[in-house]
Amino acid sequence: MKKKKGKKKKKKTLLGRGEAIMSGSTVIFYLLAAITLVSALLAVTTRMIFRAAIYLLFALIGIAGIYFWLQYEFIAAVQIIVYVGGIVVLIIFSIFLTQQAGEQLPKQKLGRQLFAALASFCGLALVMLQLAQHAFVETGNKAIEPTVANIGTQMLGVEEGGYSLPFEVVSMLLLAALIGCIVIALKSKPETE
Amino acid sequence: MIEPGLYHMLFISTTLFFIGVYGFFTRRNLVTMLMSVELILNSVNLNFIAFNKYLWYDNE
Repeated sequence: MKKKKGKKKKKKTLLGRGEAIMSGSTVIFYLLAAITLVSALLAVTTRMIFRAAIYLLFALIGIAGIYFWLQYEFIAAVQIIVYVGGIVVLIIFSIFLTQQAGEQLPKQKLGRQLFAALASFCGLALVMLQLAQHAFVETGNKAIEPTVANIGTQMLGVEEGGYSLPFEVVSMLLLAALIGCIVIALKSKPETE
Repeated sequence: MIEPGLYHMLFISTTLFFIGVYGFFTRRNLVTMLMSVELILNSVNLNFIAFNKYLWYDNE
């Protein structure tokens, strides 16, 4: 099996010599994309709930890698801090607190699975067709350069084009969610006896 | 293989989105449904960033 693989690779490189030589960054991009998509697919299909969380972790790390590949270091760092450091840990905690982590999830009905696969495949085909027909053009507006300093001044700016107000609105929303969580958790169950 | 561009990013984010949709439809468990929603949100983020990267008009 291994020998076969090696032979195949050699053939490919021999064929590709005449065409454009594939650069290292292209290979890295395809690798990252493959990691992301395969682990996302495994995360939604595996029946072990804890494994699903770990596959989700790899998918999120793959997306962070794509951001690094695009040279958006700040967004990649935020992706790692928020998703890998926050949300995956939250999901793992909720798995441990609410379910039996070692057990398998009950098997889904085949009809339901088929329906979901058909629906998502049809949606995928529709969007891909639209993408293939549509030609995207560059906008006339110049965006800010995505450096950390620029993002910071833009986010907290109060002059025109600053995002100070949405920032505060989002923080109010977060506060409301926190208080709502506490209220829900404090509500004691009525005595059933 | 071709040099990656805007359409590659859009391909990845579309595929990720519909993987998330598939997971959302098939799962019964609330935690796993949340994980599928995370995938969907991440695909949207990837879309935003791809458009910013490749459709940024540079008039220098």
